[in-house]
Amino acid sequence: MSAKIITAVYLTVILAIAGNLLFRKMIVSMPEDNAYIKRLLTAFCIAFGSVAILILLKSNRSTSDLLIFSLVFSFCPFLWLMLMYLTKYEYKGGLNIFLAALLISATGIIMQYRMNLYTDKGVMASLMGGKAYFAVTQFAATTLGILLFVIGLLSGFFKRAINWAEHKSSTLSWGVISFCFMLLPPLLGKAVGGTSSWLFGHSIQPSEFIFRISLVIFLCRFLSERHSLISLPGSPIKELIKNTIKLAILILVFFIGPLMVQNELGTAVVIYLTILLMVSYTSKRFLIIPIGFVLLIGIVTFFVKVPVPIFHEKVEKRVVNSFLEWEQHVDDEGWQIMQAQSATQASDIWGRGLTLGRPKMKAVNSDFMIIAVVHELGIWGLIAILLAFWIFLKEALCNKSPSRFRELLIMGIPISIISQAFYNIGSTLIDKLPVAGVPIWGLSNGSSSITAGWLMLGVMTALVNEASQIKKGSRNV
Amino acid sequence: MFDTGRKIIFFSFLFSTIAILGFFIHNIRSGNKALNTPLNKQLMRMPRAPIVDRNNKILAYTDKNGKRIYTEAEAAAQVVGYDSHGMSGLELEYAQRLTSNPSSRRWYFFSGGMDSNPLKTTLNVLFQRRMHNSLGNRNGAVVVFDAETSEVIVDVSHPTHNPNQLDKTWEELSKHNDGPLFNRAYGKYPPASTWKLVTSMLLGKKKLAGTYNCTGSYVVGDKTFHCTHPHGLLKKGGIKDALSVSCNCFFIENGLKKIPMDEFITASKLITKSKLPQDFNRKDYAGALIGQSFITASPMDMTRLCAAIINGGTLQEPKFAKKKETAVRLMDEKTAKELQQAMKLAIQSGTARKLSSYLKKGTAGIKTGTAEKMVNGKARNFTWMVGFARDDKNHRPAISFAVLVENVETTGAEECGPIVDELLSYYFSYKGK
Repeated sequence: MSAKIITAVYLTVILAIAGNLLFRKMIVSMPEDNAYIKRLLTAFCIAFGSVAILILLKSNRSTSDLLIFSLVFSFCPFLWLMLMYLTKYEYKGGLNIFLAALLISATGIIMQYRMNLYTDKGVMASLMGGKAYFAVTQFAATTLGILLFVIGLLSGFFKRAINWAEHKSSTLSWGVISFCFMLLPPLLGKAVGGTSSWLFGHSIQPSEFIFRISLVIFLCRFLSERHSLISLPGSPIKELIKNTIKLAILILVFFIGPLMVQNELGTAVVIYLTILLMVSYTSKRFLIIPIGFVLLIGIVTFFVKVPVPIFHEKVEKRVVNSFLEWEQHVDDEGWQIMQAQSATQASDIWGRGLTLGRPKMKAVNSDFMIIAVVHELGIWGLIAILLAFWIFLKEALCNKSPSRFRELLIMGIPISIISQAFYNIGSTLIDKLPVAGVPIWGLSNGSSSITAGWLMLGVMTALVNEASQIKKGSRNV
Repeated sequence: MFDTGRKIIFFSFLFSTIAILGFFIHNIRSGNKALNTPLNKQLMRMPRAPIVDRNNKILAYTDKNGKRIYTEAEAAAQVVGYDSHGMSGLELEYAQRLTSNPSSRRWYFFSGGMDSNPLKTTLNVLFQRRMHNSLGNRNGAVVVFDAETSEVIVDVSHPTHNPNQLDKTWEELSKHNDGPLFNRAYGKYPPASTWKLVTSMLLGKKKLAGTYNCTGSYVVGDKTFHCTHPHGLLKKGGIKDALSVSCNCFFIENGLKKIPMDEFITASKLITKSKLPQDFNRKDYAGALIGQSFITASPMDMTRLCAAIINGGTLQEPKFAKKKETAVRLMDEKTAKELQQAMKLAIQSGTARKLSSYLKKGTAGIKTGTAEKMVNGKARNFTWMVGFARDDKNHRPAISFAVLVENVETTGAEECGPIVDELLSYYFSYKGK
């Protein structure tokens, strides 16, 4: 009963915060809303702390467990420290994005702590004596990400970075940098779990930095340079097709090609979807999305039917055995989806309550984390996460930036985060897409993904602040 | 308001969000049978709800220490199954249902744990115990259905075991020659003369000669089929008389002349889920017409068939919990009535006449069967008694049943008779549901 009450309290707090941020007309900003932010943070810390204590009481209470608890619990004082810095250095700007990201990240820390899983690979494992608990790495990555977020905002680093990206760098340079970084793991790293995506054991995944940072900037640069050619209602279809083909070639060479070498087919699909949305947004042509989907299905079907070396087998396994016909492959490729569907069904709609379920399964700390969230927090937990992602989108939709590049960037950042998250949910939770091995930002364990995400959300916050100031300025005139 | 580009993004993600929530709710509500597999480790970890019979008597529950207790032990071992060392029986078939979150749709805080959501089955514990005792030391099965709905009331299989002691006995049981872990209700056996019900059903639609003279044998190619003795001139030459005395010659000769092979195979496939051959010779077909050669059926199949006979011709899948199943029309009502009459005759004056006293209590019909098989170099019989009963006086639903005893030296009537006697006695005296 107490577990259910604490779960209900946690869900109420995060839903109330998410709902308020999403539907509130005015942005939550400093210094105007300092008192409100403090109330919000207090409620959140009480809920977060209660859940952490609940998990501690229900677990082994060994020495290492107490240490992990101390670390997780210290997330609350850390947040207050960050708020203190923002107040001290007179930060003037919105915090909607920060608060939404906080909801997702905090839930991620809670769930990783709840799972109590660890890895023996990578730098963190060697530093921690052979066992890197995912709760600890999640906490470390999140706090690092928040620290970089706050420092970047306060120091003006994000503003300078945006200016540099817009005026001093070229589209091609971003492609070349990405290409070089993406080739590092196959050349210098080791294959882990069938993919060659990591450096230093299981520690750094360059593709996450590339996907979240350089791909988004590359796309925004490319599309902003050709904006006038492809976005006007009367602009010729020929121009659109020509530029789409150019974009496709560059993406294939700089991004998707190296991903294929790393065997990260799933990330390649999510990149494709991100590009579809960005091109559709820029050209203001909705038809690009369904045409793009049909093209993707055609490509996948081709690789399934035609025995192209390497790709045929991999695509067949991913698409047929572990998605379309998983019921017939429950003893091999379909096994993981079966476990995921079973865990979802066992929780019914409302979830079992934190610490009352049995959500452990393979990859639950990473790709299947949403299963654990829904298994214990139910549909309200799912809605809270979706609302938090919608807050990112709302900020992008409701703020117009002064230049094309900035406008595309402010939209591209949430699109890249949300499309990956929604694809993950669509494939693991509701089994309507093939599992692609892509994480859900903030929830899944992945230091590279979390840190890179916080950096880009910092950039987005800087852009939103700039847009708000311009809006205020134009009202005063 | 948003420009076109923003509208595209907004509606794309709105559509995705609605799709996620919609499919999530749909997946939860619709369930998936593929999840009921012993490979599903999730099901092994989750606490399980109790299983109860139609009168809420407990068949299985999880105690405070998390151990699964089977209250009926040997009496319902195979039908209820087990959830350690893999899963079987109802523990497997309803695995996902048994581990689902109980009663949480409205009362989030007061769901009361797993005990508030037991799986209510159609079994009858008292009847099950009675048939378990009646089957005794014999190897075989007893299956009883509610003939209107094909709900399974009894499913007994011997040899049996105690599922509460599986941890100690698993090694021995899994290597046992007689297969005590296997539910013989689903085992495939030659149905012998009981399959004449199918042949009769098909002959019922054909025009037959007025009389039939059974000489005791009938030759097909190089094989001679025999009756137990020459039956002579069958009264009125009809199916009823031939069925009541179980005349092999009548069914083989008329079957070969009147029933096309593909018609027989189509009807047989509806009843038995066994693989039937596409090509076979006349000799094999002759054997199949009297329930030999390539025809095999389970006690479940035969009980379904008898249910169709007494309920007017509708064939349904057996079920252990109340749910709607699609039904198939196996025969028309007229044919069903004729078969009922024929099976009634078997009790009045045929192979099952020792049970004729039950005709005073209500409607009853029986068909016996004895199949011979070589087991370890010795000729042994698989004996059957299948039928139906209806308590017309008390207006209770009709039942259908199948009793199989394997590996004996006697006939269907002799071996299964006492068990069916016990079965009918219980049914006609039972006052509950």
